[in-house]
Amino acid sequence: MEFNCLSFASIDICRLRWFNGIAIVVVVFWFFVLAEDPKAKEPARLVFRNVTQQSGVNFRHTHGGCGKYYIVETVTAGLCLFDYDGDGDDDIYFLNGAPLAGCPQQEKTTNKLFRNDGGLHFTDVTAQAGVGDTGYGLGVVAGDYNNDGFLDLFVNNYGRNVLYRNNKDGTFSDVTVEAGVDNGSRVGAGALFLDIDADGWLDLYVGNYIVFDESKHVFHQLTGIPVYGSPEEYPPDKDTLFKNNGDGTFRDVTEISGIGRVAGTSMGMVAGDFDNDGDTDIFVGNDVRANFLFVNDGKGYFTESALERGVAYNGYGDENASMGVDCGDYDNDGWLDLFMSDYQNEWPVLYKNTGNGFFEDVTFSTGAGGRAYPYVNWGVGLVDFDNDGDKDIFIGNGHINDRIGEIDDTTAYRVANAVLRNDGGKFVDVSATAGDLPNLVKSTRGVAFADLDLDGRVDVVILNSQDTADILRNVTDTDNHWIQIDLRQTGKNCFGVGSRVKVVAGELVQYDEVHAGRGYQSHWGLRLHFGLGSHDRVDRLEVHWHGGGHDIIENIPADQIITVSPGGRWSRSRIPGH
Amino acid sequence: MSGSPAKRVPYREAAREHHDAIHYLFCENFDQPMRPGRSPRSLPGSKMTPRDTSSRDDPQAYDSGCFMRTENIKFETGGFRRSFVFFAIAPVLGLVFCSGCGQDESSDSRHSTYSVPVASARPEKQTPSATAAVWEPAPSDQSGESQGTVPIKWPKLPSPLTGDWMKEQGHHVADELAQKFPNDVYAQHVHAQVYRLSGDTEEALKIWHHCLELKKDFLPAYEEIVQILVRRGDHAQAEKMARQGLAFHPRAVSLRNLLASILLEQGRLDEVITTVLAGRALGTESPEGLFLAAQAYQRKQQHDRAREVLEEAVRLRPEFTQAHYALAVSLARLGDQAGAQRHREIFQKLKERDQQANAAILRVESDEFVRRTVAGIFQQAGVIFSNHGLPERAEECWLMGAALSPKDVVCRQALVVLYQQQRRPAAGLAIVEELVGLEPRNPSHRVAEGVFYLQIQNFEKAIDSFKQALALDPKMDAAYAGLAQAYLQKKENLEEARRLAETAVQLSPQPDYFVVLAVASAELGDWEQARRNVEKALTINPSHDLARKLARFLQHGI
Repeated sequence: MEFNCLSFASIDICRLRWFNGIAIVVVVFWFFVLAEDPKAKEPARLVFRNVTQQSGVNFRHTHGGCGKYYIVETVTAGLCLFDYDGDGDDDIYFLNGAPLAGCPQQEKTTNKLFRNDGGLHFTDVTAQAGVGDTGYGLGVVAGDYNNDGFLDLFVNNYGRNVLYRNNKDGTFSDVTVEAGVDNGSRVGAGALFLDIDADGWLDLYVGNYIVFDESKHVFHQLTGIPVYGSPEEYPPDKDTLFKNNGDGTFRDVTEISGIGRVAGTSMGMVAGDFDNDGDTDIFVGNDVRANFLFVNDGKGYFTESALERGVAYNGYGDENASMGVDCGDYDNDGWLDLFMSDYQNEWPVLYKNTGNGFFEDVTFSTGAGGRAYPYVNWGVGLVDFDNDGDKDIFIGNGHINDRIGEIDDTTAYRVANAVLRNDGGKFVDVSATAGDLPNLVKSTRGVAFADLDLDGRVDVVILNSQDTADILRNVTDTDNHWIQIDLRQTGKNCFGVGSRVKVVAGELVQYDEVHAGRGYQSHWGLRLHFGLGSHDRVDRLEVHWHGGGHDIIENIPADQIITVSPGGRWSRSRIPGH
Repeated sequence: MSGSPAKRVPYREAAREHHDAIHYLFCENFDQPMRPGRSPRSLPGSKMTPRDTSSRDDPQAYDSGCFMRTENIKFETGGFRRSFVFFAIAPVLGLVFCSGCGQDESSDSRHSTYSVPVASARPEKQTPSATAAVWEPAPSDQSGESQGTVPIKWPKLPSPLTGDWMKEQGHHVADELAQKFPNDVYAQHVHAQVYRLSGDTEEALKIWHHCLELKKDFLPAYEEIVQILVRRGDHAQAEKMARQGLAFHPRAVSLRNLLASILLEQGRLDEVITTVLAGRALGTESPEGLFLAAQAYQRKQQHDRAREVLEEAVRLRPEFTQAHYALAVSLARLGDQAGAQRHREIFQKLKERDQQANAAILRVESDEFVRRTVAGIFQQAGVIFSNHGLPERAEECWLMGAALSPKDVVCRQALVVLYQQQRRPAAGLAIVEELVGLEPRNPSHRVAEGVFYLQIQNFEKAIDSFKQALALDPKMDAAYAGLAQAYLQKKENLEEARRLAETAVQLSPQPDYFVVLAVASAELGDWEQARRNVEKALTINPSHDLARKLARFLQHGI
């Protein structure tokens, strides 16, 4: 290179070449050294806006009590996000309580179905759909049990349960009796659809809480303030496992499947392949008792192994209230982890899957408890709210006793919910700056998550006890990319429940599974959502179909919803309006 | 002893001559329960003082983290321990607020002993001290009735007994204490407890902070404040207060464990280990602390170290449920599956036992927790009134505490001590009968019973009681001394009396027993031995009243 005299009038070619050389060096230097790791950039602030008022969702929950403080009043209810009409967006089904013994019949209370009309507008279609069950709603799950391509609904009640078969025309029929899933008059809890033996037909796991009826109720007071009894005052109950016969009916296989060997106090539950052996296991949270982990042998026989696998109790060896539970791979190591909510003065528990379905309580070392300690927590979700490629945590809070403030000023009946952002495996409580979140102070029970407005960000729907529901639109300001995946098969397990998906985008590798039933006695997530950070495409998508089949799809553009079918076929579901 | 010896006559002859004087001087002092190895301040007649933990950081002083410990009456019943782990980490049953705490419920311990009797009455009306005559029939027994019991004037409780009413009573007495004794830190401590019981932790915190203004090293206030802050989720402030408290009381096990758990829950694992090891260095190791250290080691994946400390924890407390769980986890991670399984099985058995115990608590009335807590408040209130020279009010409080808690031991023991000092054997016997029913295997109650029988001169029953005490605990020095006294007063088995007194002295060489031995020796005409034993008593405690009187008698016959 030559350095000629400085001249501002013209640029010597040699200087230009010299300058270009320097420029190239600078660019290369920036690219390799100074350029930020896309993942390492400043995390987005999670922000949620309360859009309930303009949404048309006017659901108000009741627990059906009238001052008698029946224990069942505390555990109602969950909710369901599912696409009942197959138009590509999730609709909302809220469960409701019903008048309890000795309580006067007020206005008729039913469960409610709100159709998603797009743009975060919803219409109450309960009556037309025929799903206005008047039973005492506790848990709910959606699944295509008859493999006709439309999602059906199972409602787990205190009392008679209900199976609604989707008629494919926007209506449902109550087929409980003909399907054989009545289950008597018990106190329900969560429910799951899962294929226990990979035969392509969804089976039904029904949680049962305690053996109770109003005649057994004992009224409790503490210094003159009514308080609810504890579940320990009542006998535990066995859960029920129904095997799908493939003809629209089920048979009870509780005892022969091994499920009936134990009885618990079920609340939240979730099914997943926790030991990565290709079949679906079941985790059940039991209220103030040891939790259950039913490990599947692949043929539909289960062995309860929670104690050996480290999820029966928390890290201290104490049983927890075990309200809601979700599963997800919070640290992207390929193993499904569990996050469980708890009672006042108990920490929620993050169970890290250390491999092969063995777990370790990592709540304290990850900060996953947040500030939840003083409160009762219910609905939870492991959800990527900021699309940075890892799962954040949402916790719904609220005490069981509406008069708790008169007994104990360290907690409260109505409490703001919480969101913890996942920063590389450590959680930071960002609730205070999460938009409208800290201002919503109610007593939450079920929470569910879905991209309701198809803008690529997962929104939140909240059922609050004795109060109106809330819809929180995720308005997190982020450039991060995302992809949503619907798994579809024909003729068997149409929505791919239990199937495992691996998404690779650059160095970001994520895993998820399709679950039917999760959180606090709720349902969401048949559509898988993956945040991709700064990656604008998926380099590689692998689907391990439940029951067999492994497809690989490469080079998929981000920011869209795709439908994937066996054989590696995929198509774009919808162009988002984002 | 200096001076010429008294005329050498057998004690018995001297007693015949100086019957009233000798027996009055001797026997009246032995109606107090015998307590082995107590510090001088715990001797009869001395004022009961709160435990000064700033000068003597006793690791056992505030064990278990129970809110309702009594500071002034150190009743060492064996059942008065609560697992810190239950209280701090497993509040499922509200154990942080001590369901079942506050009262030392019957544990059938053999080790409860009677502490210092209550302070004497107001100066202008001196209650007879330790030298009060045992021969003097109790006023209620002037009619000659010397056996049986008379009903005690228990407080009238409403039916049904509601939590509201109990809480209100607790507030009344706590308000009274706070008003009457505004600078008494223990009175304020009780006041704060009542607010906490009512769920008003805000007010309770203010009062406990006020306690620290009154006494900046007041350990109970630190513990209560830390626990409330933890419940509220304010771990930063809780840590700060815990450290402040530990600066004054580095040997406070409960506070150290609280700090360790706070650090653990914030993920500060190395600090957990440092905190627990610091306690170990001070000689205040506890199973709970070791458990917390193990938790930290496990989270650091140092399972070999976790195993070491957990094995120590279960060695110290074989029925530590959670430690077995944690040990199973670590052994599994270290590849010892058989060991892991073994500890899992132990854990499950202990868990079943714990759940049954919890279920038993749940089956009682809903306000059980309030009842026992308020009983504890009255228990503490009694001690405070007593310390301020108000024994009548103290008695009312202890009776209320005992009435509220039918299984209470502590209030009943306090009443026994009071009745002994006030020489009300009928009342004392009524209470002792209940204590024996609650803790039939506790020899201390039999000793107290014997003492009351001595007071009413029912020597047969007194002897029977002391013998029962010895059957329960062949090393109970107080029982030996009491039995010796009974024989001496009954004037029979004098050789046996001396032998018993010698045994008492061997077990616990304290002045009271040397005096008993001296009397026995004198009764048997062994004046030299009598004098030597009196001298020994005076060497230990030169101001021992009875020893001095006996010395004068031996020297001058008076």
